[in-house]
Parts: sequence; structure tokens; C-alpha cells
Amino acid sequence: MLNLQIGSSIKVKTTLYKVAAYVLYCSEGEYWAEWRLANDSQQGFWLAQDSNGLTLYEELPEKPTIDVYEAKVANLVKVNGMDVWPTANYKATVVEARGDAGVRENDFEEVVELVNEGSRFAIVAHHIELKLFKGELLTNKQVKI
Amino acid sequence: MSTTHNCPACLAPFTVHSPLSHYYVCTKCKLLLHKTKKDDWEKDTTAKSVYTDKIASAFWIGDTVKVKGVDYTLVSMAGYKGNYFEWDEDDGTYRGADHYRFIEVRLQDDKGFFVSMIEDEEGFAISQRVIPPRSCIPEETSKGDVAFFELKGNGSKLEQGNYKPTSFIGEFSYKPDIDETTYYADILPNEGSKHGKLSVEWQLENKIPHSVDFFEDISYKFSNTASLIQNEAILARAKPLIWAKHSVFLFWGLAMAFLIMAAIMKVAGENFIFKEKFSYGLYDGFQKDSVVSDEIVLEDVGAMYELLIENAPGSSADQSLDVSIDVIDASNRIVNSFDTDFFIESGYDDEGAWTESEKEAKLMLRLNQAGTYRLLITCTNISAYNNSISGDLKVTLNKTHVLRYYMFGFGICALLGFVCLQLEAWYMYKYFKKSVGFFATEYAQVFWGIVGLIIIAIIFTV
Repeated sequence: MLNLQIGSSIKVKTTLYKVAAYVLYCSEGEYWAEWRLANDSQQGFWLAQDSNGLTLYEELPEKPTIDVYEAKVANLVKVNGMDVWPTANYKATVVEARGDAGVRENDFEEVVELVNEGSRFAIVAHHIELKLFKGELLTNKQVKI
Repeated sequence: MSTTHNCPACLAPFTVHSPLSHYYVCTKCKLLLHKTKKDDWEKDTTAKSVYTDKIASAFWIGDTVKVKGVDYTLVSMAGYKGNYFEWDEDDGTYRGADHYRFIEVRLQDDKGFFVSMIEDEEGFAISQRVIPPRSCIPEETSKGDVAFFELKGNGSKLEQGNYKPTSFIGEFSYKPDIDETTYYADILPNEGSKHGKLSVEWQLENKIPHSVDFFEDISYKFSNTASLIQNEAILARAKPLIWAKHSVFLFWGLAMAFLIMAAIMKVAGENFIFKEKFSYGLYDGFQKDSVVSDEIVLEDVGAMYELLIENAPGSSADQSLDVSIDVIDASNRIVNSFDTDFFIESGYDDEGAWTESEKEAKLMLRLNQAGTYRLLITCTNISAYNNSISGDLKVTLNKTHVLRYYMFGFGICALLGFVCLQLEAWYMYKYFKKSVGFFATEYAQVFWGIVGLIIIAIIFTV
């Protein structure tokens, strides 16, 4: 797992961020880590690392037009006018949270991951809040710590 | 961020490199352990055995591997076996199932970056998750059909199949489960894509697609192992694998080359022993005549001799001549006899005049003991309508070799090559890593070399 401390700097591609929070998630026996990254913009960024690699999620200002329960894996759906294809639908439990994460230990989120032409998305439901994220797969060389 | 612990079952020490790792399969006792909330490790009592087949690889947990200039530590390995069905473009269907095995090797560098590597009998590949191009995303699904991707994907199909894990070793961020089946389809995206071959992998839960992922593999061939692995210890471990893999073909090639060379030398070295010409004249009341050749000294017991008899008839009229040859030893005993016929026949049919003839015969001779021999040659006119024939018989004796023995040798070599390939596959998967055994070492080449020489020696002495 990336050796990132809260408050440390990280460069993703050409943008410099500060690490604002750390969350360890678990779903169906699988663990992964996410770090909330902050920069000068008002948008929320999350860097996720699981056994398959790194993904940078950028929170989009618009709310998703479908709920997580409407997106079945491998069934084409329309989200905010886009044709997207759900690749996973799961419940993630917060195992550990540090910093300004906005979640606490034992919180859970319902998540749908989706792909379309060249892009990756996630819809996350936490309590009554529904968020839409755009994801970008990163190579190790694109992240400098 | 590494932490060191002891297996609660066998007390063997182990190192966990990533805080994401909540499961560990002990490299010594192969038991599955899980991390508790107090960061202790205890035996996972809910799991079945997660190590059913030996993982056969040049790598092992804790090895240092250099990938694209970066040093990584090998933190886990998982062995898989599965079935695949190749797409037949001409028939528009998938071919019958073939079996395969591969090993997934996970690496982590000192900053905590991961790399996944796939190792199979073809070599190594770096596997990375990708966002698929449109041509690799299905239009819709058949909802639970295991071939749901195959039905609708519009990239070029290459193959599809499924696999299950057989063994896990090292640390994992997910719970190892040997019952989990993954289905996959290999696809070549439509032209214009920046991707090469993509693998779409999905898992089902109650026959409904549960998760889908897209991967691209960048291959590294076995011959380039040294460029991928810079650790001398691993290279040394990989060496017998590569050596023995090549030794099978090396031995086979050498054996074939030796046989071909031997055949050429034998043919080129065919040596002349004896030649004599006899005239015959047969007519009414004298239809049979015999003649005895000069003495022939034959010393090479067990060798093959070729007796070539050429008939030069005095006329082209229809005729048939029976020639019998008795080989007589120094005590005037007949030790071998041959019989052959020569003829000229002609006639007319719808296509006009025709002529057929037999003017040459080859007989093979082998002797039980050396000595001086003579040939008793008897010519008999057996023509139905020609009472008077004459001509010359030329008898030549050469020391020679029989091609069928070489054919037999080639067959044995081909069979041996097949056996070698089977043994190679067997040991690569089963016995390479530990308990290397005889067939996986450099000694294997010596063994096969000796076996080959024995077989060749047997062939040449029969």
C-alpha cells in the first residue's frame, strides 16, 4: 500500500495535491485504501488503491440521475445522458478512517462502478447522499510521492 | 511499513509488506491466516485448504524482482488452472476446450506501488487494468449466461474460457478462495484502439454477473527472463527450467541430425565387393543353364549386402527368364537362395502398341559367418511362346544399408521427443519449484543423451 501520510504531498500526473484523509474499506473480504486529495480547486479527489492498481476519482458537480440499486452489473444504463455499463455493485464498509474523510469507522457505502468509452465512473450512496465520480486509471509512473 | 510475525500454527516467521493485506498463506505450513483487529494473525478456521497444487515457478515469496528499472518485492503468488476455447474465424465458432495453467505473481515496491505479473509456460506478462474501448463493451447481456460477453462483444474474438485458483501463497488483500471461478474472453479491439489484446474477466453470483474487469497483458518471452529478473538467485533458480526446456529440443535435434548424418555416410560409403557378367543362351531342348561365379570373400558378419542383377536380353521379343541364385559357402553348402524373374511383354490395345519389361532386381543378403562364398546362378527359360532366348546377366554385390532401419530410427526419435515434451510439461507444473528432482535438472540432458545413444546403438546393431 502507498506510504502516504496525512498532510504529505503527492503529485498525480502534473497536479500537486495534499493528502487530507485516509480510509480503509472492505467489501466481501476484499480490502482497499482511499486517500482524499485536496488542491486549490473546490472539487473532491480520491486516490484509490486495490490489488489491481491505482485509480483517481474526481467528484463531479452534478448528481447521478439513477440510484445505485438501478444499476445491475453488465446491463447498459443511462446516467446523466451517458450510456454506461456497470462493472461492479457492492457494499463497502469503512474499516478505518483518519483525517477529514467525511466517513467514520463502520459506516457503509453502496457503490456502483461503471465504464463507457474510455472512461470509468462510480456512483456512491452514503446515508442519503448520492455522489457521481469520474475515475481515471493511473500507472505507477503517473504518481509521485 | 513491513511487519514481521510468526505463524500461529507452525511458528515460521513471515513478513507482511502491505497494511492492505488482511490474509496470509504461510509459506511453510500453507495454512490461511487472517489479521485480527488487534493486528495479530490467527488461523482462519472458516476456510478450506487454499494450497492444493504446488506452485511451480522460478519466483518465490520475498524475492526481489526488477521490473522496468524498479525493484519490487514478491509478496504473493496464486496458481490457477482452467479451460480455454479458441475462436475459429473461418467456422465462426469456438473450438474444443484446451487446458492451461498460469501463476499470478504480485509485487510491491518500497513506496507501496503494486505490479501484477502473469507467468505461464510461454513466459511472463505484466498485467494491468484498463478502461476498455467501446468495441469491447457488450451491447447488452443475456443475463446470467456464462457466455454473455461472447454473445455481444464486437471486437475481434480470440478465445474465451474460465479458470479457478488451485493455490495461494503469501499475503493478500482479499480472502483466498479456491472455489471462485472467473470467466474471461480475450478480444482484439477494433482498429484505431491504442490497446492490444484485452482480456474481459467476469465473475458470477447465482448465475448473475457480479463483477467485470478489463485487463491488458504486456508479454515478456521466456528468452528475455534475464532482462526482467536481475536477481542472480532467481536467475539461478530459473536456469534449470530454461535449460531443460531447451535441452529436450536440443537432444531431439541432435539425435535427428546424427541419424541423418549416419544415413548419408552409410549411403556415401556403400562399397563395391564383386561384379561379374554371365552370358546365357537357351533354346529348344536346353531351357536351363547354370554357372558358378568367382569366389567372393565376405568378412563383415551382420552387415547387409545388396545383390544387383541386371538382365540385358539379346532381343526385344517377348520372353520370360527365371533366375535363381544360391549362395554357396566354402564347404559347398547352400546358405541362402534367391529367385527372381525378368520378362519382356508387348501387345496392342485401344491406345496402340505397348511394351512392359522387368530387367533389374535387387536382393538383400546377410551372412551368419565370414568366409569365402560363390554364387550358383541358374537361368531357366519360362517364356510361354519363345523357345529361344539369349542375353547377358550382370551381377554386382555391394555392402550397403537398409533405409527402413533409418525410418525406424526416425520413428523412435519422434516418439522419444513426444515423451520428452510430456515429461517437460509434467515437471514444469509439478516439480520445478522445490524437490526439483531428476527430470528438472541439467542431468536430464545427460540422461536423455545416454538414452538416445543407447537407442541409436541398438538400431545400428540390429
